[in-house]
Amino acid sequence: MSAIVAARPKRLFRHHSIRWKLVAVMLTVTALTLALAGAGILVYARTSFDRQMAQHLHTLADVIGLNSTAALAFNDPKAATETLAALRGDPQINAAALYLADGRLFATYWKEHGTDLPDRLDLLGRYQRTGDSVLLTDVVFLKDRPVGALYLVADTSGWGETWRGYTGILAVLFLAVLTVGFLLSVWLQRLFTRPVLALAGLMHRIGRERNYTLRAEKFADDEIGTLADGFNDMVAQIERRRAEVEQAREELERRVVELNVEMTERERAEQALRASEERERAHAADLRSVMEAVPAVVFVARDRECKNITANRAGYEMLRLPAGQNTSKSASGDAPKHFRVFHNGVELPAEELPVQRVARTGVALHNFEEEVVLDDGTRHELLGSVVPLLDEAGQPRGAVAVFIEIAERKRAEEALRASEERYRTLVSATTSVVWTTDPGGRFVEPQPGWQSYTGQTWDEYRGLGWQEALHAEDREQVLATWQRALESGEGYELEARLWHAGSRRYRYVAARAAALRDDAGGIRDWIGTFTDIDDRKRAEEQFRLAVEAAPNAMVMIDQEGRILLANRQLETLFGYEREEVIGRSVEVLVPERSRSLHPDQRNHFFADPHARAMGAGRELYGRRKDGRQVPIEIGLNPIVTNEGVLCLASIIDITERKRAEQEFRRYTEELQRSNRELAQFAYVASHDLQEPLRAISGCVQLLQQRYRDKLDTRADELIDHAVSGAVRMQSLINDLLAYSRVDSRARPFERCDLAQPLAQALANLQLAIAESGATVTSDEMPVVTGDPMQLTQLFQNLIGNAIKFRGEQPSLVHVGAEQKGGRTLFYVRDNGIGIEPQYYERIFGVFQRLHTRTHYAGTGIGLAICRKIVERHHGRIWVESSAGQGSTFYFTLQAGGMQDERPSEQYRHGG
Amino acid sequence: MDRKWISRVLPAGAALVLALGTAHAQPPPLEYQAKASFVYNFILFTDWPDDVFSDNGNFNLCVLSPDPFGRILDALAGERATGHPIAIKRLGSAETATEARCHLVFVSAAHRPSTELLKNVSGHGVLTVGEASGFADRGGVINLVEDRGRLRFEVNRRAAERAGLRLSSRLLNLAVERP
Repeated sequence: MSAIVAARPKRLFRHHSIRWKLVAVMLTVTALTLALAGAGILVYARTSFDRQMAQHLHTLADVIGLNSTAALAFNDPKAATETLAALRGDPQINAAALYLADGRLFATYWKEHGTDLPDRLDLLGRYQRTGDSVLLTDVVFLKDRPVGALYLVADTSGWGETWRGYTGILAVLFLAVLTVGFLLSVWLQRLFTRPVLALAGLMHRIGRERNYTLRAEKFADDEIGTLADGFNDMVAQIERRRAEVEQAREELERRVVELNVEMTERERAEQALRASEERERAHAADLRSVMEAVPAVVFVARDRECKNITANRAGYEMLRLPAGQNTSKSASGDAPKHFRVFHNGVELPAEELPVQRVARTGVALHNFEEEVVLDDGTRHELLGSVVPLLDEAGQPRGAVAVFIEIAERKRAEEALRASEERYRTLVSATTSVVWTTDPGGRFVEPQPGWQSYTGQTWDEYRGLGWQEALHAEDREQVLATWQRALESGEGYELEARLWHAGSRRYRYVAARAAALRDDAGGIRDWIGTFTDIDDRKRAEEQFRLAVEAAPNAMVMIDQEGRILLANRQLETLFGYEREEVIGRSVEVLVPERSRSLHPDQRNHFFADPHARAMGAGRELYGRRKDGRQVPIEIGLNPIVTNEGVLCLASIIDITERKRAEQEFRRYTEELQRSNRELAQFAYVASHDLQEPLRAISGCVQLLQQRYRDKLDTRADELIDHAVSGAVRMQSLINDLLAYSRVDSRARPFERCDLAQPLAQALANLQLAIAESGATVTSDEMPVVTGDPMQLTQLFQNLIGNAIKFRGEQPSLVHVGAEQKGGRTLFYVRDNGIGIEPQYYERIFGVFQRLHTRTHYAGTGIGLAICRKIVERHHGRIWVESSAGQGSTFYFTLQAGGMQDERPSEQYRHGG
Repeated sequence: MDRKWISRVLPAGAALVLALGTAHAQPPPLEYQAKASFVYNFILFTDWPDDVFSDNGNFNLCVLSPDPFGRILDALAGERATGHPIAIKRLGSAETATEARCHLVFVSAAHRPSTELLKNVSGHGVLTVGEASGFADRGGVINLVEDRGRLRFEVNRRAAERAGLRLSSRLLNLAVERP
């Protein structure tokens, strides 16, 4: 059982009660303990048996050996056999034998025959266990001298008995302990399991019955007792919490019901209130709108005594009072005194004023004429009606008066007509004109705003007559919009050209209208406004014209990339009619290969709109309608409008410029070619000139030698001139040849240590250096790629010049090389006469001399050759100097990394 | 431990093969080999009084001439017996035995074992070994005898006591009963 428990404890016991788990644990522990103890005892018994056996045999062997020494020493087998016979007393010894020192068998003993004894034996002490017997060899000494050996054969069958005895006892013990252990654990586990099981049972019951009043019984004050206490506490808490929750829930439910009732009532009351308030407000608003909208002066008194009379805007304007002021002349306090009211030429006292009379009497007054005269003499002729306001009882509680001004209106119209400028100011000041129509879009009452803007008379615009004031081209569109609005009952907005009497032309207006509805939701009438937007329209038109007149192609796009505007140049450049592109995406103008990238670039611009060139550094192309691509340049400008930021792009066709660039390149190439040809010519010319010149020179010199002093003096002079001219001509040609040879006799570049050309140059100049007493020093020279011959010439010319153009003191020349910015800068510095700055460039020209031939010899080709050599080495040469301070000639060589340069084939002439 | 045994046993065994190995051999030349081995063993089974050995002195094994062993006894020279190296001394006459300070005197059969002779060779701390019948009876301590073809010996305990020698009981057990 313990083995099974050890192997698969989990699966086996998962569903068993804790009771059996405890018993199993106890029994397993007991069994394991016993098994281990038993094994220990057996191992110990076996070891000690072996040890005792070995000890016993050794002792026996020692005794027998000692008793046999003399017999062995004196070769007395009989005595030896007798000694061995003494082993009969030991039942473990099966056989024994004595051997002589040379290994021969000497004497034997058998308990019973059958045990093999070796004939010879090595004198080696040995203890050997084989199966159930032990072999012992004990060497016998006589005074430290081996005289023979004792050989013992013992059987270990004694162990079997011992083993059986032990195992028997252990088995009995094992069973007894397990039995007692089982009974004890069954009894003991009750101590733990009973309370635990009781607790578990109770938990099940509580879970099943939801009865939280049950409590666990406490059996002892141990941990399980604490568990029971804790469990009881927990159940008590749950019970309490549950009761609280229950109570709270009930309370909540009650509150929710109450609240619902309350809210419903309140909401209903509020809704009613709101509705009536809204109605009231609507009425009041309507009234106010009407009051303000009517093209008349309106006064309202809300009490019988007319202590307070308010007016509409027209009323206040007429009386020149700020809006909201009391206009009542019968006011108790500060009644206005700056105007007087006349009727038929008689001033009316306060109580006889029409409003006061009607409010007092409750009798309406119609077509009443009166004249209001202000302190400054302004007169207003008014015609109007006054009606009483009655309370529920039918008693007057105030009055409403409406007057139309007769003379003032006429004057105003005339004034407006007088000056368009003034009209426009007025139009822009009163940005909106208000009008109302009946549900069918007909004017049913005079519209002063409309009348003053369009100049139509009431008869002309009443009903649907207003349509006549619209521009003939816009009429259809406006009527269609109106028709839609009338059908749907929704407001509209539109733009149209409306006749403007003041400026005697059609002007753009933006109109909007909204339906006024009655309580039943039906349309009562339409209230609308229109605003003069002509100036804005004109500005837009001007912008359009400006764009149109621009010399560049221009296109305006919105943030979605739609083309809003395009000019004539764009049509020319891209080959589209503008109607074809307006409203389309601007990408239609972008070549296919970059079209997919364009929206991102567009978004990038709108994310940070500022004027810039598009695609800086890239070559841009536009795509024409015919698919051809045109090289272009684009400037982008953000334009802020009511509709948000737009982009105005200006596009320039750079085809011409590109062509010019190409032409320039071609021209440069041609120039280079002709330069090369010229150089070739110079070489050929100087080369070919040499031959005849040599003939001339030879002849003239012969003439000089042979006929000197034989002709007259003049002839001698002429001959001398001819000789020196020929010599000079020859040196000029030689120099020219040398100059052109820089190219024509050029050798391929090779790696060379610059120290060698320098040394060669100094060797060539040896004589000049010695004569002038010059000192030439130099830095360490690097290895460069170049033509060693030419580099020799370069150094030779520069150092030669330095020596030649020396001043008073002996010349000091230094040839230097220093690293600057990864390149080597070479220089030849002297302390000679120096050069003035204005000649810095000239000295490198062909045959350019700063001094006369008599001062310094030479043709002036040296530095020109130097420049040519340096340029062939892709370097630069220049001078820094000042007169009298010495000069430094710097030059660079494109050393290293340069491809071998071979001289062009056409210069490879010999000679 | 095995190693120690081997180192102890092997050389000793090899040395004794010469001296003892042929104890069973019967031919006359071999007889003295057996006798020499017996003489050597007697030394091992006998305790001498302490006063007969001077410090670092030899164990003097004397043979009264004529020496029947030939060169056989020389093999024992240098062997350590009773803690002293054996020295072989050959005596010209019995009278010189005391002077030679013998610890063991072998008297061959060439001498008749007379009381006088024995008186000359015996003394304090002297083990007398003979090979003639009557040697023990006349006062010799050990006498080699032949018993049914085997070499045995007889012991005169009284003579041994007189000489102050203590013979091992194991030796005495092997001795032939004197008639």
